Amino acid sequence: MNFDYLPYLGPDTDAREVLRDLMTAYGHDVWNYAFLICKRTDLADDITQDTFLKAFRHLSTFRGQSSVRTWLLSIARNTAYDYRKTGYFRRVFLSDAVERGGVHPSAESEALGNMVSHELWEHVLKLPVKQREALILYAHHQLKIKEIADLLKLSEGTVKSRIFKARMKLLQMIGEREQYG
Amino acid sequence: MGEQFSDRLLEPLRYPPLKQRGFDERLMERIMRELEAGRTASGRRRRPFAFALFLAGFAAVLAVLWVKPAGMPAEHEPAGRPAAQVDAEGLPSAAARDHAFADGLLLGLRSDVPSPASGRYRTLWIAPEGGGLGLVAEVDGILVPYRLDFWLIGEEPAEDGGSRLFAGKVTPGSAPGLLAKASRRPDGGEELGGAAGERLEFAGQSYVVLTRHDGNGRETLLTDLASLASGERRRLSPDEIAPLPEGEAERAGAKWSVVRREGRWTVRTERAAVPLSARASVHDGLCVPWTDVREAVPGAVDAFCSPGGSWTAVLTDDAVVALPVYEDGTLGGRALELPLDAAAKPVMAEWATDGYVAKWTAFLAAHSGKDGAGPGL
Repeated sequence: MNFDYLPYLGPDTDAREVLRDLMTAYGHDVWNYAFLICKRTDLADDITQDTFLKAFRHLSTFRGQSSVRTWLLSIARNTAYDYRKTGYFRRVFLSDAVERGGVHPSAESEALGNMVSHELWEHVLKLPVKQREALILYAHHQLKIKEIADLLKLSEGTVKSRIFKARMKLLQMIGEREQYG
Repeated sequence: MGEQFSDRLLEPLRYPPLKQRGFDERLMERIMRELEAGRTASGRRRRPFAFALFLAGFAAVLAVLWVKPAGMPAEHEPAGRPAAQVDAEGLPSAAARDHAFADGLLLGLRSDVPSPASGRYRTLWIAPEGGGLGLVAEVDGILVPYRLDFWLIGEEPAEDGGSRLFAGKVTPGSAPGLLAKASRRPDGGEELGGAAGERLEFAGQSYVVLTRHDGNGRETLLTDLASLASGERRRLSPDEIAPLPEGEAERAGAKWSVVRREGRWTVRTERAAVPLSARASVHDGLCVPWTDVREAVPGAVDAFCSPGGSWTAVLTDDAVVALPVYEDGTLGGRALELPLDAAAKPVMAEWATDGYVAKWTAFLAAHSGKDGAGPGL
């Protein structure tokens, strides 16, 4: 699907149809990115929803300086981080921390283990968020280092460093699993 | 590290993280609906300033309208019910005295064996009061906060002789009619078990789960407040409120339920038990080990923890007990104990935090009948 026309939308454009096209083309990318940041399917739904509604409201401001996909991922990232600032999100993460501390097992986290498509994803979800998002933009979304740096507002060197550290941690986790698992 | 993706280790990450759906047609349609309604997911959770302004204004309007409730029919008076406010024991134990109780709980209860003078449903507003916790308000029916509004759910007689649920958004115009219906007993106090009728099982955000009983059995239905209010009862999939395994909702059909499990609202089918998502229950889950709860309140059957973790409400078979939770995670002595009807079951637990506690208190205190100021909402 080609969105080269986006910077040149006219007043007669059916913006709702554009939104549908955007969701068809990039819905999975946005949802997966949101999920991999927040690790909750319900929050990923909400972040995806807000991402596309924000994109809809700002269609006229898209100038094509980045790809449409990078633009949407950037909105998704900002939305996810806005959620993190809310008391709701802090509470969710607080309860996750309590669960990790042994209060009681999280049925959702248990279910998540059965839901991932590959064992490696389980390890990725355990990475610190900064390393995790750099890695997934690189390995899953396959953005170029410069695109990732622009999206995360980091230097290319920092992006490479985070991906390298993430990769090392994955190797360590896999090694531990093979040794003791 | 090359620009081109060629790392065998990371190769599996090229594929989606989950086996089952992520973004799908259902979510796309939801987004289109939200677009038409002009709202966002985060806005649905909280709109502080608009909400505060609305509540303040609404409370002021209703306070003026209901300052003298002499015109209300006598049947609206909550005289015959066990007066939880009167019976409530404020028990500021030494341990609880210096504790800051930050959040308020709107607890909706259903009694399947209600007393002769009261309805099946009632809502308790337990909130910080005088340095401790108090039953600040009590209302007939289930008062559900959703977005900028409060909705009231109750039951009314059905044409076939049983009972059916009703719902309505609480506005100055709708309040008198809702009040009248919510305080009535449609079935003469008989246990609902074998009778035809609808029973509320859960209310949270915009979602309502009810069971329909008839002579042949029962079915569970998920719908939303607006649909219940219109009488339509649009059937929604339980996938809307819990991330069930793929295909499980279709397999379960109408044979599923919402239960309390390990301190969380949980959708249960024959094959799965999955906690409700934040879309249906924003604040849920225990903040202290269940063993600690049982140790503090030996008869505990359920518990609700405040979002800030400052206190927990513990249900027993015949009471709700509030306990402070200290920063080190330990439980304090009983801060409040309210007697309940036997067999009262929770159907809603909504928490207010920060400035919303005062707003909800203002809203409810204006209409709850406390201090003889007016009828129970």
